[in-house]
Amino acid sequence: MSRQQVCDILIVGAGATGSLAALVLAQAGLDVVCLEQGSWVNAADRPHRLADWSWQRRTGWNPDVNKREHADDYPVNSDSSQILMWNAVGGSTNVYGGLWPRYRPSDFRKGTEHGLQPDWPITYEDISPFYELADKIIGVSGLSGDRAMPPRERCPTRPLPVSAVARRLSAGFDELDWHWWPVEASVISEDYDGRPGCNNCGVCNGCPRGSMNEFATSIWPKAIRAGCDLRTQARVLKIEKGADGRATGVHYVDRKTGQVLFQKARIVVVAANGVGTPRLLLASENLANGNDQVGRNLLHHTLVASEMWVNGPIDGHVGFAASLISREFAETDISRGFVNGFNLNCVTSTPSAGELAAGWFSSARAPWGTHHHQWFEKHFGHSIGVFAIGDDLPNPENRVTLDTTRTDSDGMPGAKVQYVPGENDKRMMNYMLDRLKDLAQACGAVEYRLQDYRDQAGVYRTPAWHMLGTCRMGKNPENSVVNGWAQSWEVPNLFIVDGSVLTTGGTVNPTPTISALALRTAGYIRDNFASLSTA
Amino acid sequence: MLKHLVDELIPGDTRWPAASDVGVHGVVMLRLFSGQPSRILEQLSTSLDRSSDGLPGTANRAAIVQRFSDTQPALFEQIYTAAVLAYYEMPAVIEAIRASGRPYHASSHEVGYAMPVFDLERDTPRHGRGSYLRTEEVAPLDLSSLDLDAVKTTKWGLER
Repeated sequence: MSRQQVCDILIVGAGATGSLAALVLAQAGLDVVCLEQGSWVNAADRPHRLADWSWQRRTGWNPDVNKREHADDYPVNSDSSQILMWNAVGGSTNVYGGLWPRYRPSDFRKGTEHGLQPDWPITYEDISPFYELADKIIGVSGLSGDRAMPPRERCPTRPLPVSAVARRLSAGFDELDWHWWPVEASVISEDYDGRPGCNNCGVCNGCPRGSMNEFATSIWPKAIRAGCDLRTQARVLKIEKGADGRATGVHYVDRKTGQVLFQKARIVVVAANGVGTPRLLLASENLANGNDQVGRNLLHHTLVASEMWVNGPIDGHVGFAASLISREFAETDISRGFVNGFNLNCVTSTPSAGELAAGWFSSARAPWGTHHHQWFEKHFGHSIGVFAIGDDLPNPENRVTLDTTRTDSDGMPGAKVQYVPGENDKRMMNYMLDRLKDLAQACGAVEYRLQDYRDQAGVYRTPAWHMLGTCRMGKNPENSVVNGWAQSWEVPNLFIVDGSVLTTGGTVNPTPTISALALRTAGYIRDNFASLSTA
Repeated sequence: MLKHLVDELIPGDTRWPAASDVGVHGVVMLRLFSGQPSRILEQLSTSLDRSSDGLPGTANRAAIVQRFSDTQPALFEQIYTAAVLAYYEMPAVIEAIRASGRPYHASSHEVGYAMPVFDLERDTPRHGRGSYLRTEEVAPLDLSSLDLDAVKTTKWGLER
């Protein structure tokens, strides 16, 4: 094993938050090294331009880590959830959908509100400036003035075009007297920062043309120009701790050569997502886990969905994948029979005729045989999808642990994921399904199907893009892993900047909040580097 | 055999080509069976018609495929999904979609779709709905009516 020079900042993981931390810290003149177990994803390798892109999305480019075979992945043994992630420069933003909604103030105050979740150690007001900063860096499209949210600055780019799906849905929401608003997206509606505006292609799982913000193409080039040393195919095996209780660096495999190296660092920042980060800490001789909190309280969100079909063509395969968001049910209303709220994330439809006919996200699909074409003609161009996404309560037994039965290609234990929705979550999902039914009827759907993500045995197998809470931020070291600056309670020069630090899941896609927190933490490290980097 | 099967799954008519006319059977073969053709094809053959080298050209084709679907649901699902995805990526089928009046591109990522830009005057919502709790407005709630510990939801989701 060779020893290398000590760097100021060592970042584990080159996904969204790793890239933002690298950008801030390298631009400050610090010596930053980032280790990424995966590789660069070349635009030319992406399926978007291929005739068989629909097939590719279900096979080699499937976001479910257990439905593709990729050398950069590690084993994830889940008893329930479908674990969706991408291990590469840019992380899961290589395949995400680019919705960009913010948390609301009450999401940070659930301990005060009902006590079934803890309060965050920070408030909405603490994170708000960093939401704005992230939006500017990324070029978020959207519309200010939503009365269901705190005031915000004007979005860097205007909202994406209003689709026929959005018009149909908004009429349904108006009929119900429910809130709706154009969705904010990490998709630029006009040219921005050297990237081309969206061309409404609809193939929104990552975006090799660069209209959707993928951190590999929008952030990493800037971080590298600022001096960050990004090493790909570099899988971290263990974070090393010294006798003084401080992290000293990491052991990693250079997967190009097979050589195991040690990179010394003054500060270690982990950005390996809500499964990868607890896995790494647990594999590092239980690092930062004296209170047995690492890996616990896994949150996925409560998630159910509906697929509806309406008379008259609406061409849901055209335009950005999402259309509207409704925050009508975002706050707790005890009269509903549960705590916390949810949002209605209205998408459009699948961009693929084949996906629609083969079955999109409900049980509906074109039958085989003589009625196949009749079904297709009636449904294609007429479909709308809506997700209901809610704030699930933490359960210490919903957790990530090490899977000692399987290892990755470098001998490191895989991850084991356990997740079962609780009583409050089930009540919420029942209520959500009823509201989805209301919406379908208000939209004049001639047919609709609900999706509860339960399999034939009744197991809830949610498509889990959101892996949160497993190293949560808190006010005290008894029930949390990091403090309000995402700094480990136990290892003072160890920071975590991915979704694992979220104290609650909120009612929205978490990437904007995770990104804002990463910028806030990186700024804190930059401004306090001298004191943080010494014992 | 696979050629007959895909035509039973997606037959042609006056507006739509039959699956085999656009080569779906070849694509399915490549995607599903290229690694282990003989074993899977044998399984398929057994499921479809033990005594035939393909689906017989008779009226009971549909019954044979239905039996295959019932007895080998996983394999059937695999083949049907692959056949459907392959079918709708074929140029002749995309032309048929466009002929039906719907805009549709084989590679929309390359060319995109034309849409009018968001007009702030025309498209900004005017409903005036929506509210949120400010940080200082979040107050303790009385949860006693919920009985989260005592009352358990036994039926949830679509099983209700």
